[in-house]
Amino acid sequence: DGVAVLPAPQNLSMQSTNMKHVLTWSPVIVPEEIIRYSVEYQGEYESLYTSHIWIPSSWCSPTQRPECDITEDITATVSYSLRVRATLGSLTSAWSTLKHRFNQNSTILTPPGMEITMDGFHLLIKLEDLGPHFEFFVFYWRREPGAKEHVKVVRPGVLPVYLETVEPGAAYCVKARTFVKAIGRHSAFSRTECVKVQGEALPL
Amino acid sequence: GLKTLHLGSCVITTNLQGIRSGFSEIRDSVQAKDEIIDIRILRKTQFLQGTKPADQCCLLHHILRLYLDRVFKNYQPPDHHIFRKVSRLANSLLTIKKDLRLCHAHMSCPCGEEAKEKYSQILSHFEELPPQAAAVKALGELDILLRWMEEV
Amino acid sequence: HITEDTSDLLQHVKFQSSNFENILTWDGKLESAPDTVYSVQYKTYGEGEWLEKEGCQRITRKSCNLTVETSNLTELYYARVTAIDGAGRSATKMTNRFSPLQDTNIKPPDVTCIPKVRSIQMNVHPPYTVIRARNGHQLTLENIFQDLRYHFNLRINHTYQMHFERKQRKFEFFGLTPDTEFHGTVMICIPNLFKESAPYECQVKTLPDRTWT
Repeated sequence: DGVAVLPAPQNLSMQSTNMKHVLTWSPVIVPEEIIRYSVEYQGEYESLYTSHIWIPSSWCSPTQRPECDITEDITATVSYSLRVRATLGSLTSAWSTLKHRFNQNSTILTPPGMEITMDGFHLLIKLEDLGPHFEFFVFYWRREPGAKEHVKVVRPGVLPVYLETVEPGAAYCVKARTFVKAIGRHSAFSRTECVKVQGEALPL
Repeated sequence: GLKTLHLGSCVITTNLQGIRSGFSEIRDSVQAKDEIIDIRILRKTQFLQGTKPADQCCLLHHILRLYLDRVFKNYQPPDHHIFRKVSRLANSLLTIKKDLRLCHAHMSCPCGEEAKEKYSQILSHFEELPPQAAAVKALGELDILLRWMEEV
Repeated sequence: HITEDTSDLLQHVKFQSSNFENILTWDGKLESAPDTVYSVQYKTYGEGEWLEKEGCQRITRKSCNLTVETSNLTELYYARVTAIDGAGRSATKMTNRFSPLQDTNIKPPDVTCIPKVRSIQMNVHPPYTVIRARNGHQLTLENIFQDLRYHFNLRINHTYQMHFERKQRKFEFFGLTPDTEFHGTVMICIPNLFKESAPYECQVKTLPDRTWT
């Protein structure tokens, strides 16, 4: 390693939301100089079996920004070690290692954004696309005592998706949550949205 | 979705699809480096499916240990891209092995004669080759191991 | 002793496979001399012997049907081609390891779209393959891929879509407006192997509602 005359990056921290993982740190300041950073990681396998081996991150070896999107590097549900160092020309800082190992199963899962609309007597839903990890479970029911709750797995897409053919004069409610197969976790439910169908209720 | 493996009385859930996706990205590149195409390490006679359920957990546990101890460790990736993909596979198989170790701890992963016999055959095929060539061949045969697990 | 570079004689030796019909194809020299001949061999991975493919010895075309020889779905295969030109120069090239299960492409399903007044029915015809069971019974993709599913999709004038995933081959979209144009698609999906066929597409119009006329 180069002589460590540069200060090592400090305050390493992980932010992970909806399976997008970003490592941040405090920038190393050397007036009128451009500092570059290199990020490396080690999965649990490497720590246990080849502890001398660290893998350069896909997007930040090197980078000039004091942050790194490591989403594509964290690809198994094990704990990962992460480290960063600064470089200025041939000068290299010591490595700084993230204090706590990171596991993607700790990511924050937010309730999905959704939009409920009608087309004639078709109840439709449009969901925000959160990426390939996500499945969307949509729960919907007719707002009346004892109504049965239906569940449907919906794929987000460009167009709204059909949920149900509804009856005139009735009201229907919808809520949704995400599921991430890789970590086996659900998000919380979205807010429940209800819509009233136009027209006269059908005679019994 | 997630695959549930019933290995005798050991039941684990795993994301085989994710592992297969990771392997498919490097399959041609890794298999192209395996020039000894007259020899196969994971052979049909040692199939997981053809093994007595009670022995399946032990056989798979030993095979995964072989991969973690001697395949991924000896494999030298040609570039960082392959290196990251192989790391993903190693860490994914590690999670399966950790689950199998739990079964072992709960006495639901017994090692009968069939498991020992089949594993020793696999090991002898593996050790027929120099370590580096064996690692390349075994890594290239991960699709065989994945299919064994899918068909359990 | 200088070995002559003959790689230009032969390129891109590979399997092209659809629903387990496995065709070996290759390219020759751009201005391939008409007297260049090709010979094909194949083998099972893990076995020692290369076998000559009858009917593809010293041929001038650049393809060879190896469907029968590579029909065991649990096996892995290699094939290789030897090219010899008029001047006696030769070159041999091998395929990647070929896995019928992993490498075959899935053809679009054959479907009948039946419009009614307020619904559209879609019937998928059995997706037969060239593979036969031991008893000679012709296998369908459903027999081979346990996790096969059909994705039925109906798009309603670019504003929204109806999407259903089923194991069964028959599906009916209900609650539609009479006398209206719809765009339907059906795809075969095999999640475990990330396989998805190209879509079968049908443009279809529901029948007019004549109940009150």
